[in-house]
Amino acid sequence: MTKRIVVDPITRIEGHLRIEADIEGGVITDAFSSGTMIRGIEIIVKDRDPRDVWAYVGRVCGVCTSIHSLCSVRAVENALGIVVPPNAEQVRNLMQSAVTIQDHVTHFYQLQALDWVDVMSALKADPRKAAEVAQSLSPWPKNSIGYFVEIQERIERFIETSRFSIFSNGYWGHPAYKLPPEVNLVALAHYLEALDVQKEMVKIQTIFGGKNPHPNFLVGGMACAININDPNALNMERLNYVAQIIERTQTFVQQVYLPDVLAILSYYPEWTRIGGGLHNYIAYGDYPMGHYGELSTYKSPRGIVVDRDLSRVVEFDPWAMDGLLEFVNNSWYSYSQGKEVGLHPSVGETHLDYTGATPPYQYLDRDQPYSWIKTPRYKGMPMETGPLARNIVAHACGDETYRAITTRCLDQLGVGYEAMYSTAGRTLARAIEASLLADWQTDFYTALLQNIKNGDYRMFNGVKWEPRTWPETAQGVGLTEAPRGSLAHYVNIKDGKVSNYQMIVPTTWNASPRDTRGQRSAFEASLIGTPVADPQTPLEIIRTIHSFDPCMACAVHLYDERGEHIHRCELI
Amino acid sequence: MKRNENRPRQTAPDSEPILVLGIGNLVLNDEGIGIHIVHTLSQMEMPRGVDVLDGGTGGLALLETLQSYPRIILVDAALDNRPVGTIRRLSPRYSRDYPPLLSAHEIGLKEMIDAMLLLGEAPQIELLAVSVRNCHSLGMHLSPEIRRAIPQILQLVLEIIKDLRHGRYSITLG
Repeated sequence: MTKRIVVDPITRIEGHLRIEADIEGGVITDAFSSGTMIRGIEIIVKDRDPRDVWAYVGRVCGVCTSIHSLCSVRAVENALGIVVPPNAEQVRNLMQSAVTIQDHVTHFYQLQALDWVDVMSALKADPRKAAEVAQSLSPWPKNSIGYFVEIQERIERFIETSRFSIFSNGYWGHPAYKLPPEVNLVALAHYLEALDVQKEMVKIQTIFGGKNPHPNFLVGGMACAININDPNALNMERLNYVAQIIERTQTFVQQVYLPDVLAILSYYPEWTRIGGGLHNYIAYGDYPMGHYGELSTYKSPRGIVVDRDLSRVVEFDPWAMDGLLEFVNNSWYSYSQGKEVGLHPSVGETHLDYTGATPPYQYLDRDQPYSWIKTPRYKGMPMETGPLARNIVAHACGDETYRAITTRCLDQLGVGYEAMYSTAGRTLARAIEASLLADWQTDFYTALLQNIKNGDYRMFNGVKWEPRTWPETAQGVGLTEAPRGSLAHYVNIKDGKVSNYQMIVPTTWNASPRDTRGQRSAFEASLIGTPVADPQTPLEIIRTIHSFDPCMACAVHLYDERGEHIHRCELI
Repeated sequence: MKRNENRPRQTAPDSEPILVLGIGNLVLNDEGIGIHIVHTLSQMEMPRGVDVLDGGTGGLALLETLQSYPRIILVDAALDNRPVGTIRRLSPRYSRDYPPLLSAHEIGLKEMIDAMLLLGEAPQIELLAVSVRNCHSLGMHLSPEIRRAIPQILQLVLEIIKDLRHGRYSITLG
């Protein structure tokens, strides 16, 4: 007998996503992922000045706003042949790593942790034991009995006064929660600490980008002037402040976030065998220590791993016209050449064509297009993207930095590298990456400072600023590693204006519907084989989907009615 | 500075800063009304101690800003099935007091309110909720109804500033 479950929307993600899953004998046998909002930023930036596009695409979302802006300026610089000064490259690295670490931390504590941490259980914890647990995990100073008593009181007061809050739609008491009350309490205390510390982390965005959210970018460099002695410029005092933020970030990530993830996962060993999904992984690579075109200087390497074969790295070529293709056979878009073709983003099209049922509908019609997300493929292959993909590609590339920390963490859990191909692995890979990025921030900062000390104050290359210096037509691609995975912007420029713009965002790779060959994308594939103890409270589905850190806001945009939480479960 | 959650509402002395915060998505037509309003306000002369901020699509990035003002006037689009252009002035306290605001984000304003209450500090928020229609179109244009509402929204913002300075609260409109 098959049961069909609908979770719509999946809560505690950015944006709106619907998952339908079929369950047989307590295990998921099939799954459908549907993005239920549309995005049309590509339509909005058409005919605009390519130098302004970063400001519009940054408005897609307030979460990784600056990543879209970065990707956009890289695309335009690529089209016009602009190389940005080394200072600007390092400032971009610092801003990108800051927003990524902040995203990883808040995703884990504010969005994902409550899948594993039972808030109600934490209230029953013995603060004395919680203090002992905390002291055994790390040297983080906030681990006294009094501290945990205060946290418990604060949470209790909040739940009493603020009914229907962020804590009101959890599956508290679900049998799949396995942490002892004391570990729940430690994690919950760090939930609060994370809220505070993330504010500090993103100040790097404000310092270099002028404001946050939506900091300033600039085609050809960055819009901040460096002058060590000028009180109105990026001076030594501001740079010292950046150094302090980096130190605080490192302390939190390395003494709290990563140890917490390891502690929590140690109680859920079965989740290192659940949720693996696809066997192909893609990473465009990022964080150049040289300039953006010098792939060999990337901290996070570029490549593709096929069939989990770590002995081989397949090249990713953004301009291979038979490589990166987007399909709409199961999406609510039309292509001028018909629904079955795949288009390279440089010739991509965005024509909305909703053919689904009028909401509210009970189930998706599975023989018809069922999502606002297009389906990207590389040479016909579905790919997972994100921190786990970056870890796997780096391993295949033989990157010692990634290998050392990953091995240390896996040893602590008593498992081998194959444990990474799982829901737990995805969660761990994100924390490992945050730790690496926090260390790299020191490298970016040192490189920036060294360059300034050598007398190089350049932050902007204005040679190609004026449109009269541009060719009649130009094409470019910008690639970045966003918090959630590989992000590509393709721009076509004609007569000084954007003639076409296409974005392939990480969640498009992961959350997309089936392709023309019926191959599933990452979300759908990862749910197959997942046990679901109680279809009325499908916590297991949420755990795996959350492990991807889905951001529907930029995969698709707008369309939701009132954000009502529909839970349905019927026999079919 | 720790503020008592149950503190009585007080007037803001002239020295105490007030923030006018617009939230919304500029590229989703009427959804951007909050941003359009603060852009207009930032070109006007504002009373002393009043700051104006484009909060964009918001998110946790705004947490610190929200915490650093004791009083905030918030302008946002609401999907509340009222006629387009309806303006309501509300004084929400808990996240459950907010009307359905248009936010693509799970960590939206309501979650930030909860976060601030959890951390022990939440500002007094006076909300101007502007009813918009659930349009599927994309772009940067405001509908005629919303455009017509702009002068009244601006007027209301200025009135609320006066109220906050002189201790009058919560006139519910619409």
